[in-house]
Amino acid sequence: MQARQRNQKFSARDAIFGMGGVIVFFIMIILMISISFIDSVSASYASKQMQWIVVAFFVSLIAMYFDYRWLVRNSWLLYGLGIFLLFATAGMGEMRNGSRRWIKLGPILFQTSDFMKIATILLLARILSQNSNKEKLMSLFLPFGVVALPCSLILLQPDMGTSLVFVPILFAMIFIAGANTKHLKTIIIMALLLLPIVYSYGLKDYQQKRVKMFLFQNTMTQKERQAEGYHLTQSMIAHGSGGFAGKGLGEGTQNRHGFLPERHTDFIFAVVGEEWGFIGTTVLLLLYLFLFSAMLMAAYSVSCSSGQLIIVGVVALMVMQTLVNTSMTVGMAPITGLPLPFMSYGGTSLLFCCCCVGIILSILGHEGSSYS
Amino acid sequence: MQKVIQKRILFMVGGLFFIFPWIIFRLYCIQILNYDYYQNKAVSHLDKYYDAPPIRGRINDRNGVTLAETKIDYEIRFQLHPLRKDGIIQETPSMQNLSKVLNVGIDEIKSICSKENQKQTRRIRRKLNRHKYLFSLDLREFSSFDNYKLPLVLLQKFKQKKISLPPQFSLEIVKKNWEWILKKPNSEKRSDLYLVTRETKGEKSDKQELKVYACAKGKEARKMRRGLEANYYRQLYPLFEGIPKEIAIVLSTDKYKWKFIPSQFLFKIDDEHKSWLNRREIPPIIYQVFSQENFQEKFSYKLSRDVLVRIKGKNQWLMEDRRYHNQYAITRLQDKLHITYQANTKRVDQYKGFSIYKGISRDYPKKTLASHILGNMGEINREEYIQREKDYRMTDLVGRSGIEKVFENKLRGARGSIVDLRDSQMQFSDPPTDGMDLYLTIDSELQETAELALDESIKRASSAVGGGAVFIDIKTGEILVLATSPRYDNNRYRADYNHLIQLPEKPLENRAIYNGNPAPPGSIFKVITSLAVLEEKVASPSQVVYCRGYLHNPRAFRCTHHHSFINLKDSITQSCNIYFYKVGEALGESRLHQWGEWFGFGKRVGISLPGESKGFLPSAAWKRKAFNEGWNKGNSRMLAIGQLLEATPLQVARAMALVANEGAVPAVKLVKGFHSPNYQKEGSVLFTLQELRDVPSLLRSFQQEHKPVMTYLRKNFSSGLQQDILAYQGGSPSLSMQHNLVKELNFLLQNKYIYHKDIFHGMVFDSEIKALLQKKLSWKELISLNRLLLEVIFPFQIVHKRLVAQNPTMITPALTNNSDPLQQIPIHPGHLELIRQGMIGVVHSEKGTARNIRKLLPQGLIIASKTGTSQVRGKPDHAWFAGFAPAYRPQYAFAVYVEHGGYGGSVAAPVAAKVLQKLFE
Repeated sequence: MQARQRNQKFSARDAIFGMGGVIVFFIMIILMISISFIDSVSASYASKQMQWIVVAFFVSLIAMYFDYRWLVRNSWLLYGLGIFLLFATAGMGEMRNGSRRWIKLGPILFQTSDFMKIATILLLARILSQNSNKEKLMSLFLPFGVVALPCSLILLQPDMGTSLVFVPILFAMIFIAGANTKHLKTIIIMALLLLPIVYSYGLKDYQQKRVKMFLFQNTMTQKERQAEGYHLTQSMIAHGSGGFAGKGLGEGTQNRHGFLPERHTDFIFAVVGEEWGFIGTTVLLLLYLFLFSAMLMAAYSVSCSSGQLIIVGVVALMVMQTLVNTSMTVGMAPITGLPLPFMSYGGTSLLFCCCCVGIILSILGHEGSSYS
Repeated sequence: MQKVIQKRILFMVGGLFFIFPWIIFRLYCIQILNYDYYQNKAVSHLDKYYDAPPIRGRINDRNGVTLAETKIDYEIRFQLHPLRKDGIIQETPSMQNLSKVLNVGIDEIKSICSKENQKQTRRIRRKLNRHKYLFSLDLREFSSFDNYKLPLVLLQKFKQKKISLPPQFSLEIVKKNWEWILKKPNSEKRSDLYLVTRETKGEKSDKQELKVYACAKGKEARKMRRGLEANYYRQLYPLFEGIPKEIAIVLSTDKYKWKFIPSQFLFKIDDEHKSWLNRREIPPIIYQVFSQENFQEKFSYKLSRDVLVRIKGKNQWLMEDRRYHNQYAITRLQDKLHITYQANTKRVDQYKGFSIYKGISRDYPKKTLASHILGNMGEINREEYIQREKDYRMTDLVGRSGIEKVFENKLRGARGSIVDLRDSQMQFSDPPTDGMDLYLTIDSELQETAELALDESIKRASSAVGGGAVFIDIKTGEILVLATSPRYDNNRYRADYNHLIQLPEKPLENRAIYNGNPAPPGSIFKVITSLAVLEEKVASPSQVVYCRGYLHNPRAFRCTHHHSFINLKDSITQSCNIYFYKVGEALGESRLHQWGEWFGFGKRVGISLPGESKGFLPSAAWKRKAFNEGWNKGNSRMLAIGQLLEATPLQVARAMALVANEGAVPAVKLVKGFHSPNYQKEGSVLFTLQELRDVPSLLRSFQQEHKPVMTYLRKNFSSGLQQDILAYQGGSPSLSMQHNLVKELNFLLQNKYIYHKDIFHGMVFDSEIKALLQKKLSWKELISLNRLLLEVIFPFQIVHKRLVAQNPTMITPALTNNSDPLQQIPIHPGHLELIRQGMIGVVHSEKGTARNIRKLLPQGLIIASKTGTSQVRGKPDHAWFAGFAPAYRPQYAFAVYVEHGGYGGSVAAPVAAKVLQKLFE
């Protein structure tokens, strides 16, 4: 204990070497792929994204040197700020495509739910790590409440995808916090039973349509599919026409002629599929798989329970986004506006992803130190 | 505890390794297993096909004066709803863009739009006044299994809007009837379903009834339709009875499927709305309904056509050359407007509310000139469409009469297509083959003179109704003049049609080739009779007959004058009937009939115009059949003076040509030939497969002739020839351009887009070659085709163009139906000379029947002619004048006919004289 107390400082060695280095390495490869594909879609976006990457690099550096335990301690504050921001978004947010998700801060659009994700993860980490009797079902009420509030606020924006992301975060963190598996099972079964109700009352028409479209793809007529499933059809064509080796970077017709909607953000994975083919998509997915595994292994090595919880939360968040995004482009999930972490164009998304990585590195770096 | 957590973390890692392969497997299915399917899809939506209709060929006269041509109009249509706000047309950015591009003042555009807006407002107001409520439902809410929901929702909507429902509007009735509709077979619920009320006028206004109508077809619908009086609801029939009348509901379905169009408005037209309407504006809520696109779909027949209005005459800058190549004009338009051809498929925000349509219309620049010959165009009908579906669209025009009808196939050309490649932002086209230009044998100046002279004669002769004049070139059989009066303007044919068919003078009849009224040629037939007399040796030329003004009885078989003793020659000159009564009696029926037949009476001449009359030549057999009576002397007498038969001016003119040309003339024709359309402009040629096969030998001879040129070309093949081609095409060649050319060509060949508008501009291919080129080719073939194009076709085109420029020849068609080739009529030249003398006397002797026109003829011209004044029972006489000129070594034969004109010498003869004057000037 004494040795730890002496070593109060942040250790960059701990953070960068070992698992931290592996994480950073994978992220850098993914970022390079990202930039080349955003450039393939539009060069102007690529240069903007480069600027964001530079910003995100410094932000993650700051986050790395910053002691994460301060964040955990003040997570209620952050959570409160996040809720306030969500309310502010509902009141004075920018209206885009029929939903209010952004706040305008000078020249940049700031998606408040991104901040809320981190704040919620931090707060959950605090609650769950402090909670002594995790075996009790009652102890799960507070975490559920903490998640339910932002979840419903985001659902009202409306942004079904983002609000759904909170669910796996919650479950993963409860699971890692040592909750009774029996409780988890019952909760999951209840949630499944609640799904139809949420579907018919919680979702808007177009969201219902998307889900319907996803579920009944084969029973739809051609016309309906054309009208409703334009996104999906185009992204499937993009993937399929890529074939084994792809058409080559910048040569994709689906991409270059604008058939693919939202191709620099939500559908960038379809662009990868088109231009690099099966090889590209597989490699990218494997990179993600290794990245997330490395993050989880980092959590494995960390002894501090709150740090562990934060890492698992972040991984759950990113895995959820990755899975939903990639599987939606191949028709395995309904179409939502979830970006692919590190790949999709978008400043705040990248910023918060890198911020999360910074926090993970900070956890690794502060492993040997104690917080006063 | 920590161990449990670590275990759980490892469990999660395992989970990740379990989930990710699923996505990879899915990708494998899509990208590897279904690659072909998606690849096809990706390629197939890269290009877009457009229709490229051909330009119809011109109709020219013999000298190349255009009588009918095709005009390309570009019209800008606009939709009102994107342009207005709160019911008033606002100045939009799209208007500004349009005004900049078209160089038209923005106020003008706005005023046109607002004028139309007002019209529409009025229309809607009228509609609203008719209905008290308008209401429509989104029926997509109801899938097929929950139909029962509809009546419920209907009632709910009424309640929401606080409309009190009378008791007879019961749920059961609606439900029952609704089910009844749904039970109908799909064919019968074809179209819209309307629930409409109409206020019955006046009495029992409180007991108004609402009827629900649905469009339907079939017997039942027809039965129902008969019962409905209002125009608007003619296609509808009642489905529901006993629903309150004050409510008008419009439920709409998709056209062919039983699907509904969404719109969710229900409102009551109250006093507030009425006040809006009184201010000549439409209340905003009604706009919401009416300006919805869906609504326009519903009323697609009624509204949208009215909404789309043309700005006409504002695009003249595009029309510098009306016949400019199709594609080129379009591209120019695109450059200016950035609206794709047929912009209705793609709406660009920059020009929101406006779209461009290309229309082809037929123009007859000389208006009434030769209107009957040219004929007119009409929309294709069902039978024709089924017959020639391949090359026609439902909205196309086809020739309906005259030359337009007969030569439809040649004038029309072949449809092509444009391929818009999104891949390279280029357009490739299989250019339409424009129709051939047709050259008539008509001389438009003479025709005009004849027409005007006819008009004048008809005007002067008070009883005259109409007439025709025909001039034939004896040596070639070409018709120089085929004039008719009265005429009509083909440009206004459709607009005037109802008026034209009612006129008593029947302007739609082509009197030069058709007789609607019986038109005996009268004394003109005496020429044929006298030939028969001489040939059959019935009488000698010097034999005389005593004419006392009548034959036996002063009331029957009379003559115009008391001619005293008269011989054959004088009886032609003075048109003595008595002489011909006597010889006719002697000749008898069979010989007269035979000679009449030989000179073409009673059968068609066979020119390429529809609606030609046979005329009529009586015979004993005919008379027995028709009247069950034998042929008598009186009939022979009447036939001898040209009274019983009927003839058209064309037949008479041809008979005169036969007389003039000693019994034989070439087939009479109206069409001189055809030219490939771009002949005059570009001198491009029509390639046939045979010609392409001959290319090597042609080239060889050309190479020998122009050795230095060819050696130069071969030396610099990779650049020089292309340069030559490019220079020829009018582009400025550069290295990159050449590179691109070859690359493009390869690309085109690879992708089956053989025709590139720049490379192949102005080239016309035979359909056989087209088919050959459109086959999928192997790489080897591609290369050889490429070489063929570069080495053979292009030089050949250049060569051929030069050759054509030096020696223009026309393609002459075999047109006339020489079904029975005419034999030489046995005429003795000496006999002919006697007749000629008699016919010269008609104009040039003091006793001649047409001596009054002598001063109208050009000096020194002697013509041989004969007047005719044929009697029609109960009506004024027909005036005839026919003959040939000059009398010796004749060149032209003619016939003029004025229906009910009176005396031939004074009414018909001046017309011929005027044309002859023009002809021999």
